Amino acid sequence: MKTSTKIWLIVAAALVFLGTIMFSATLFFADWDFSKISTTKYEQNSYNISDSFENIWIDTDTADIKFLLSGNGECKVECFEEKKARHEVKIENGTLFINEKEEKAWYDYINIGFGTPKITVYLPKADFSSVYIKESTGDISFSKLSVKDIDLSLSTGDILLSDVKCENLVTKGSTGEVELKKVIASNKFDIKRSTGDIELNVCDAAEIFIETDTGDVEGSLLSPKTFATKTSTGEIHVPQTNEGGLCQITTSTGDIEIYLGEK
Amino acid sequence: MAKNSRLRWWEIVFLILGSPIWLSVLISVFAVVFSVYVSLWSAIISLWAVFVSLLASAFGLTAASFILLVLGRMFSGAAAFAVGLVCAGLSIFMFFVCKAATKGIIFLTKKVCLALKNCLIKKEVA
Repeated sequence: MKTSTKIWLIVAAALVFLGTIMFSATLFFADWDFSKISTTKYEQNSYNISDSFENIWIDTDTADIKFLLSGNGECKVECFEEKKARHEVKIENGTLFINEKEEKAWYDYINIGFGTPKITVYLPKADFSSVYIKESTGDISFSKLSVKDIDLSLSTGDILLSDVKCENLVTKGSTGEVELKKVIASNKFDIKRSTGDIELNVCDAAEIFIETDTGDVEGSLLSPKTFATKTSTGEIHVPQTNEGGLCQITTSTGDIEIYLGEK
Repeated sequence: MAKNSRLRWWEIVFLILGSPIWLSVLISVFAVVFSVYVSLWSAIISLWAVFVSLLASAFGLTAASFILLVLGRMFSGAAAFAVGLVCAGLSIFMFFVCKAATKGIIFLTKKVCLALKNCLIKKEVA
């Protein structure tokens, strides 16, 4: 090995060592609180809603969305959000609109960030006509709701719904996972994913359409279905029933495993 | 006296009739060799891309750290400077890895080319 190479390697090792020590020391003085070294500034904002609404429409990017019942009949939206990406909350034509208003310059996208924006909607009641959510990486979770139409469109975020009654549940996404627990649709489930897994636990719908690429589909349904399954290289385990509505599950390499009744 | 390399008429007929087999096999062999070669170069390009990213991160973070320190954000500035140093160190290591990998693939290319040449062009017997 050349002397110059040796010198460069020693310099490289020294830089890595020095950088690691400096970073550890910085975190030590910041009480190991990663949010202190974050360059993105967050704030907590609360929006009280006095008007009634039947529909919920949310368009955001990275915020985790959660619906909770307020318990006192009041509606409130709490946003833990970036200072330069606040959410606008308003009621129009019986619809609760929540959408992100970005005021970022190009350099604001270069940052050190550890926080995750969050939107928590405290609902005055449990029945709604529609819920439409469009976002990218944030997760969506809600439970104990009755909604006519649910449309959730997101990229890598996960979806967790439990104890939900609806007519239609439509969701499209890429790598995010879908986990449904006791979700009953009187009409249909239409779930599309690329690599994300889909898990149905004690769920049911008159008709079910599920499509994934490499994601697995597994879980339990409450009533017999006419199964139409298709996969390229994945394994298929579904009940041999030919009654009830259509349950069409298509994957490329993902496995399909469906049971009847509670798993 | 040099051996007569001209093909006889029945050899030419067999070559033409057998072309659907030997030609497709030849094309597939070349396709496999070519795809392996392209894959190896893709790996090399990826390694160089990692090197460039580390180097850019080192410069970017060091510059950003000074801006953050001037703005009074001590923790963010110090952390950015520290990570910049780590990126600089890793980029030096990565440079030697990329250099060695590139030399290796060039050496392999030479060997494969020579082997193919020896396969296709036979030396004439004196």
